[in-house]
Amino acid sequence: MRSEPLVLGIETSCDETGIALVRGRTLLSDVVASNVEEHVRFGGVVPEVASRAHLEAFAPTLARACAEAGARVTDVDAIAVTAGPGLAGALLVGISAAQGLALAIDRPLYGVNHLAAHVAVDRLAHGELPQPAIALLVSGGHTSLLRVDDVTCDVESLGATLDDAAGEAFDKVARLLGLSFPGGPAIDALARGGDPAAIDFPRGLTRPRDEVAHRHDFSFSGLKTAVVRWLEACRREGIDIPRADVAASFQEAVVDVLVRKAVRACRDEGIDTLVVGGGVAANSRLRMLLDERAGGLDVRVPPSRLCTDNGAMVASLGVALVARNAPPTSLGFGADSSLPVETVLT
Amino acid sequence: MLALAIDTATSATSVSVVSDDGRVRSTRQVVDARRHVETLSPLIREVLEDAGVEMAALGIVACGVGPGPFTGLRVGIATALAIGEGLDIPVVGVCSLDVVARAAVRDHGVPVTVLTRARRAEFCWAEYDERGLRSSGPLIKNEADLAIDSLAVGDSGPVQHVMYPSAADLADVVLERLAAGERIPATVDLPEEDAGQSGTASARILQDRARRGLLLLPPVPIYLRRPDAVVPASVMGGA
Repeated sequence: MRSEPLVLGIETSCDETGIALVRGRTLLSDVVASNVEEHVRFGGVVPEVASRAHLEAFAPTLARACAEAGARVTDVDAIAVTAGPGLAGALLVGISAAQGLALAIDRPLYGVNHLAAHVAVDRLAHGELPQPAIALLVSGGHTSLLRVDDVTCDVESLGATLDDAAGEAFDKVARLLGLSFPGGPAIDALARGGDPAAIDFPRGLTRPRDEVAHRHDFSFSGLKTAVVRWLEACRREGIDIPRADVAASFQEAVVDVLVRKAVRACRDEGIDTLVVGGGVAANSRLRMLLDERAGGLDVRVPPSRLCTDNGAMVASLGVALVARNAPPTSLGFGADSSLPVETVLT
Repeated sequence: MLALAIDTATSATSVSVVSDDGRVRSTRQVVDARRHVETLSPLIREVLEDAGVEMAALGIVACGVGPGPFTGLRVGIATALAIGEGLDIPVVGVCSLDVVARAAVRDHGVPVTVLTRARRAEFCWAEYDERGLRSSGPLIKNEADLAIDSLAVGDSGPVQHVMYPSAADLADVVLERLAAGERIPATVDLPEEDAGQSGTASARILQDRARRGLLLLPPVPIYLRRPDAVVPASVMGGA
């Protein structure tokens, strides 16, 4: 196993400073310093708050990742860092640090795509990904359906959200229900005591004409507006808000569309592997519904802690790139906050 | 000992390698306010090559810690920190305005006021006596609060000089202070205030340190104030 490359992964695209060491398919350490707490009072991620927290967390997080892996930073064979998409100021902290480290220890550096890394993390949980595969990525910043022919170089976007990301919809509806940020876990918990069929909230982009023009796209802003209107109507009529039912019905509307479109993308493309990633993949109802509707599909959902942002996903993609002998990124690459998913390596 | 010095607190990205006898082995500066990250690492490589110095020969990394526009500032500090981690050598910070003052006083021999653009109509501001010692600041001031002649470098009239913090001068400050026995502090607690207060509490702490001749800082940005972010009403009051 010693012959497999040891890769350091650095992720700072949003509110988690993630640094991990991966050798081959073995996760040696995965340290995440979350600054989510610092954003709670703002009800969402504040870019400047996140950027400051990344800089503060970098050195201690690196030290912990090395210590937990029982490795020195000089043992590393290559470094991978998220180059985008994400918050520009936050990305820049990780990219700067990765470039400094690569210079100091004279190792190849790979500036990688955050979305491809969400797909590549599954190699650590379930072994090398059968390809082609369909990937459903759902988080606070992204909602995408991808066709993955080769996670290191051939990823195609089939569709994405036209407005809010699924996780963003969870955050907004959580706020409406008086729940704290981040909204995903809070709604998931509240929904367990509610009836998912209580309120028939709209399923975005599922009307017959959308099935043609936006077959693999998503939209959650109309759903959010429907929840606002429904709550307003309750208040107007003086009805006590059945919060658990609202949470369960809203969640059902989101995951129903996600699963329906993901499964259909597999059928359309004739692909029988579906890999799911991103923070919303931790949602219990999404996991349940995937099981129910998978049919003959091989559905791969990594454990929740690998679905949220972390350094392991970046390191895992880095290992795959090293294994393919991909040319490292030249020093001096910048952050690309809207890096297209087709660009796996900057 | 060889020092690698980096400053990205202004539009300039400046990199130098200086030996502890004060000899500047190589120095480079690129002015581009929006391309610090694209510029810095290749520039470091270039400076080391030009100096004929291997990374492993470095003994310390010095970086300007501002005040200055945050995004660019963090590029320099994060890079410096990572080089320190990779080589297992210390990383030290210096107020970037002190670096400008050092060159200005050396060139003009008069008390100076150093201003660098913060953002919009704001400046980072500090005053130095004719020996180059900081007598007040760093602070953030509005353009409207500054008399035009305070834009001057020198006290004999409104002479304006545009200078960027030079990494060679930065290394000079660090090597001189280390030789004088000053230690790199593990932490200096600089309170961050809301925009209106302009970081006066931090300035008091930094002024007091400067008065005692203490110029070395941990590699942490001098922000002077909190991030601009509004706590939404629905979060403050509950939904």
